Amino acid sequence: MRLRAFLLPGAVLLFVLGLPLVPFDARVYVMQELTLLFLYAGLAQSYDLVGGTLGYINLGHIVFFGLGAYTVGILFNVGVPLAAGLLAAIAVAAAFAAVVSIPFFRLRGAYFSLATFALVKLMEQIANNLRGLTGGSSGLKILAENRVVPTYYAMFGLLIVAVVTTLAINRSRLGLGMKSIREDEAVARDFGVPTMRIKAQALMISSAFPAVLGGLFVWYINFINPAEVFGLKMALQPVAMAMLGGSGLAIGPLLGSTFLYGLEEFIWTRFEHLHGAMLGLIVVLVGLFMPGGLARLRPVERLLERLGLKEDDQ
Amino acid sequence: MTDSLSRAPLKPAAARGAPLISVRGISKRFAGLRALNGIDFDVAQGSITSIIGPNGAGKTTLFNVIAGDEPPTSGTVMFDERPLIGLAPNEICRLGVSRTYQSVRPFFGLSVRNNVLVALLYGRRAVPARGELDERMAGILEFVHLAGKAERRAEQLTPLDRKRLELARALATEPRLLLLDELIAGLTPTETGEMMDTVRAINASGVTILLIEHVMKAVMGLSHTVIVLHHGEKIAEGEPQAIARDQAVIRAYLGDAATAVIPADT
Repeated sequence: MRLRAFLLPGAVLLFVLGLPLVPFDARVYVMQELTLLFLYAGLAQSYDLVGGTLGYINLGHIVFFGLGAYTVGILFNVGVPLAAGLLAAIAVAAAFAAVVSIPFFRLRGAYFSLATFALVKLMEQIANNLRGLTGGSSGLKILAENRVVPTYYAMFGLLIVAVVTTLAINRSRLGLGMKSIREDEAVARDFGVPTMRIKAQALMISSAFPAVLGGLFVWYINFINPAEVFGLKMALQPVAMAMLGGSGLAIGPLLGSTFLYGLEEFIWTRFEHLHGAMLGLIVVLVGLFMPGGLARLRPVERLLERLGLKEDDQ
Repeated sequence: MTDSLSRAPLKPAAARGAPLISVRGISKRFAGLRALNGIDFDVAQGSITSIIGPNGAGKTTLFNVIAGDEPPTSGTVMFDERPLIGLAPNEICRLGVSRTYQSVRPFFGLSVRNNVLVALLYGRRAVPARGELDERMAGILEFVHLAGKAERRAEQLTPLDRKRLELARALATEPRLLLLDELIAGLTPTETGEMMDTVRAINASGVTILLIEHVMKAVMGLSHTVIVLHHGEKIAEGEPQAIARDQAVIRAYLGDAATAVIPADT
């Protein structure tokens, strides 16, 4: 029973770890694609700690990605090694999360979402204007080097950490406090849950992942600019992925990111001119007809149960 | 109200101790509306006290003030000689005040077990040890007749079971004062009897109870003391039998004409 739960994850693990060792022509292309998939899945997974478990739709999750990318990029250019840069990125993102949680978590529902979304645009403007530090709108370059394989492994490793963290939190006392806030914040307070502290903790934990992913991203791509790391697509894609897959379940963001990323590739190769509109249409339809996400569809639920991967979300 | 001294009290007065909670001069205004106006009362340790009054009298607002959900415009609440006003609801809960809601508010998306677990893990001063946790959980669910429904989602429960769940969650915080907001309203006669027994059993275990109720059978059968609110003012306080004959109370419920037909108990 318990062993069965390791079958699919084990197969995926073997495939991903073994891929760079198999010599075939499209190997680098496949690795690059998967690296981006891991990046989006990691963003969606960490977003969902706040969006799914805590129930606060945070449209500004990508702010931490941008902060991490710029922190690592700037430090890298003055000779700080990657590992130290990534630690600094976590510290910067967590501190920023702690500070913004004070005003933002006084807001509820759509007001919270709108405020966090405005924060993305604010950060973009700040990055544009701090030219001496960020290079402004022309972007920040770091020394180019081929880092395909290490980034591939690092992004995958981080995704695993994000999934394990989500599973652990969903079973912990902290996770239960977060869920009680999602269900009814005023009642949670009446029953002893220190809501402000828990919301701040959730945001800080959630912020660490995009910070590291951002750092790896700049190290991999060698170039970032504000329009990209604080861009609309970057900001909304992880949210859409988590919701489509099934918010509040650890498997949800994984399913959603794989589904949406795969769909985008498929449509892009078939409908060159209309792919944006097609993608939007599918997202709207899926959202309308399965509000619980892919993971809560009956057939998917049954399949997950058979694989031993069904989670308890109540 | 003092006339009832001649009657046999429901419980020997000696069993009831010093006040556990003292409410003094509590007023609450909402944009010109006086929801509460200078409310004073004590609740004796170990007693069951009912608050009754017509709709809109300010009963639930009073609960919200005590639980810390709404700050009063003025006044103080002392709980076991500690001031409660200004404390957050989660702090008040940990001091030993817990509540249920007039229209039930379980965490609908969570299982019965997790509903109670929130209160067990967060509502008490110290997080209980693992072994004690399971034992407490089983004991509480058994006590409110929810054993066997632990894995059910709260939204799947019947109205009666939702009320039981609210009670279970409140008990899990190990309260010294329990605020029950219309726990019995809406139940069938059989269910009412069962719930009254449950409330009595909780009280017998040493928990002081303050309850809001419209069901007179429950008020009369459970209370040592009844407090009557009307338009945000306390118009009467006393033992149940005395309250039932109080002229001001009859007027508040039935209008002036009623006092002419219902003789005063003198």
